[in-house]
Amino acid sequence: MEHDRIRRYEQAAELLPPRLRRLAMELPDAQKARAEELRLRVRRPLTVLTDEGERSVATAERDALVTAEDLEQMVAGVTEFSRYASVETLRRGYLTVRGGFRLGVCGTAVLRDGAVCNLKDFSSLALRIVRERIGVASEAAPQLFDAAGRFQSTLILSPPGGGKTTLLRDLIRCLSLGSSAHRALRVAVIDERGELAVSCQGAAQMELGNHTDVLDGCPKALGIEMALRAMSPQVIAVDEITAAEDVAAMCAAANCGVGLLATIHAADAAELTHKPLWRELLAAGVFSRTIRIGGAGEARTYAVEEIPCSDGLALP
Amino acid sequence: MLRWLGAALILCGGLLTRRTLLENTRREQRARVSLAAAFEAMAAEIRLLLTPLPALLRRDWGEETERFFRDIPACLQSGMTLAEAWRRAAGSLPLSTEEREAVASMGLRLGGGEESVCATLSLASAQLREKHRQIEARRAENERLTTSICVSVSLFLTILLL
Repeated sequence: MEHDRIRRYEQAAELLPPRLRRLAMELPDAQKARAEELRLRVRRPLTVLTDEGERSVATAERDALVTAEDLEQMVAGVTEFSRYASVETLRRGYLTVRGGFRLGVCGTAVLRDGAVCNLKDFSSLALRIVRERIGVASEAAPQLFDAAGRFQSTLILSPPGGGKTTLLRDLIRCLSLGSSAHRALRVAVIDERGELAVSCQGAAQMELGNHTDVLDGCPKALGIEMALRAMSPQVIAVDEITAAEDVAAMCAAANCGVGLLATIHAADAAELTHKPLWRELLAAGVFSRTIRIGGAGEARTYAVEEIPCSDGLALP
Repeated sequence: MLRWLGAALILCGGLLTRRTLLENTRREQRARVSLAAAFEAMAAEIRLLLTPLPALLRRDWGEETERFFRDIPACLQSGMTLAEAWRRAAGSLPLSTEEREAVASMGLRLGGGEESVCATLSLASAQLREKHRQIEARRAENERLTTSICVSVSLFLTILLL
């Protein structure tokens, strides 16, 4: 397990410019295994984020100082020298990287007609080390079915960095493979940011089961509609719903009798009622279960709870 | 006898030079067509599918430009920037120095957005096709000129020898 975590860290470090890569590789194995992100900021040292917080990868911070050229070189590398192919995600502040990593990007926004159309003069990058944890959802998955064996639409809740995507990915795998108690379901994954399947030339690089159809790089609202029309899924899975059109598309899918599996940035179901967008979702009665992620790292817990019917929720 | 043998060798050398010169011109022309077609197809695919450059460079774009398209990913792998890699690879193209320089400088404009990349590729393709057309238009005249120079020089040397 630790060996796999170190290997993933080293794969991520391979994406760094050569000078910084050497420093990142010199990190002790125990730190490599706990690393969640590598962070680069112009004229600041390269840091690694673990469950204990951020620390410089080099003891002498001056050695690990990041330059603007380092950031340019790294972005050129991860976009395969084809920035035009990644501009859609770049303008939204991230890049999906081959191998299943994700690069958050900050810099100067290029505005056209009031909308961000690109980013330039990069100032910081955050390389998220995506790790697949097969089996993490094994206990939670059977609890997402009712007594009659019907899948119940479920929201996965946790604050940012809590492991929602990892759990969602494994839940998709569990539902798609089925079990002795529940038959396999056709799952459509709308992988807008390429983090769930991490598709490369049509093939998912993460294990998502045998009955999963992946729509890669497609906006969620559009993707839900396309999947409904084309793939007749039994469950639709999406990561991080944040926009009103996503909520509307999910309500439409629920009305078609499709189960939904989604993640949201929230500590618990009660917090959802404080945000107008989620209130709308709860009021529609689309979801009936939540999985609340607690703890951190290896000690994460997954609490499956029923959402009381919308009338029962205390709306502020 | 030896003089006649020498004369025959000079004449053969002259004909061989002519053949080599004409073959070089034809090879340049084939490279122009191949490169222009490759750039056009690349621009079209970028416009349609936003395919990244490495995937496009891996395609089989023809024998004359094979080394050029093979060298770019290898240079990128070794840590060069796109502009440097493109410039280095352009050195292997069987084209005139002026055209090689034009292709080499394209690398600087390929790191931008879709429109600028497609415009760069389309412009380079159009320039190569134009050059190809001009050379084709003068081809018969050039071939006659090459033949007469090679034959004249070899005959002159033969006369001097005999």
